[in-house]
Amino acid sequence: MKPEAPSIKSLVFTWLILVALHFSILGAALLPIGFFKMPLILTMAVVQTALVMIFFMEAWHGGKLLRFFAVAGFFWLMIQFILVAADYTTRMWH
Amino acid sequence: MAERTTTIAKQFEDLPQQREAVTLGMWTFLATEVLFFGGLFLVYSVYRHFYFNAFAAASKHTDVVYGTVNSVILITSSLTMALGVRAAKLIQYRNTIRFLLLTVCLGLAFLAVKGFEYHKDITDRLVPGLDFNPDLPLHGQIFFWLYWTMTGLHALHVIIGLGVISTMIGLLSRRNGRPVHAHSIENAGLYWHFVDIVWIYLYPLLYLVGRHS
Repeated sequence: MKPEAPSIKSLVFTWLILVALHFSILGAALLPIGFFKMPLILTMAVVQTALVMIFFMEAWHGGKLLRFFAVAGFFWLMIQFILVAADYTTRMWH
Repeated sequence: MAERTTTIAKQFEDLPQQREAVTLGMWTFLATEVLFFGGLFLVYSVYRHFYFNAFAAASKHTDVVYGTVNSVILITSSLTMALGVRAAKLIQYRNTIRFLLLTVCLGLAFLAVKGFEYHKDITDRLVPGLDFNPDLPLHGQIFFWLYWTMTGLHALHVIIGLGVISTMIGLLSRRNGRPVHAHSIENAGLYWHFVDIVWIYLYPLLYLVGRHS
């Protein structure tokens, strides 16, 4: 039995969006938009990550357990960032 | 029975169970990799918070052209890898080998560009602790410690990925008519795409902060 394979069209289309997003990130970095620049850039990077995970890594084609494991690392990373941010932003380190 | 021993390891009931276990194992490993690189991104965030302007000034000294070219190379290598995995699933082994070879070529191109970039960085005296460029702010050294560590570890992952993909090419070339599990190629692909995802974040944080000012 052959496992389900994605279409060439969907893979190439994903690649085109990834490249377009990449140059959008570069364009956004050159804009004088101050505080909003990095959040905008990182949002686009998160979209790129989601595209790679969904279409190239096919994370959503596996069962629920696989999806759970796929997001687990990012979940723990989020906890790490939140706890460290809570510490560094509330204590007078300087 | 001979067929079973060549395609399914004895601890598994059937091929779908083996496939699920192998893929789950790989995703678990990738979760540990997320935390491994996550620690470095966390250190970056803390120092960026403390030395905001120094990081912006130091980032301007990285070469955005090399970084951009390498990003496109890595994204394209993810496409060729995904096409290779697709061909393996369809049992088109010749196409799989072709796409994996293309991925290896792109990976080597990435490393070559990185090599040129490192050479330029050394020439521009951007190695902390070794006659560091006096035009940069003092805390720019912290930025470049992170730059060398993060890009160096990423390059190490690229090299490991190239080794894994080359092993897959070897297995496919010497299979002598025996089937090769698509999930072995799939797992190599998962690792390669993860390496691409790490670069997606390294690129803006190392090359683009403070570019407009």
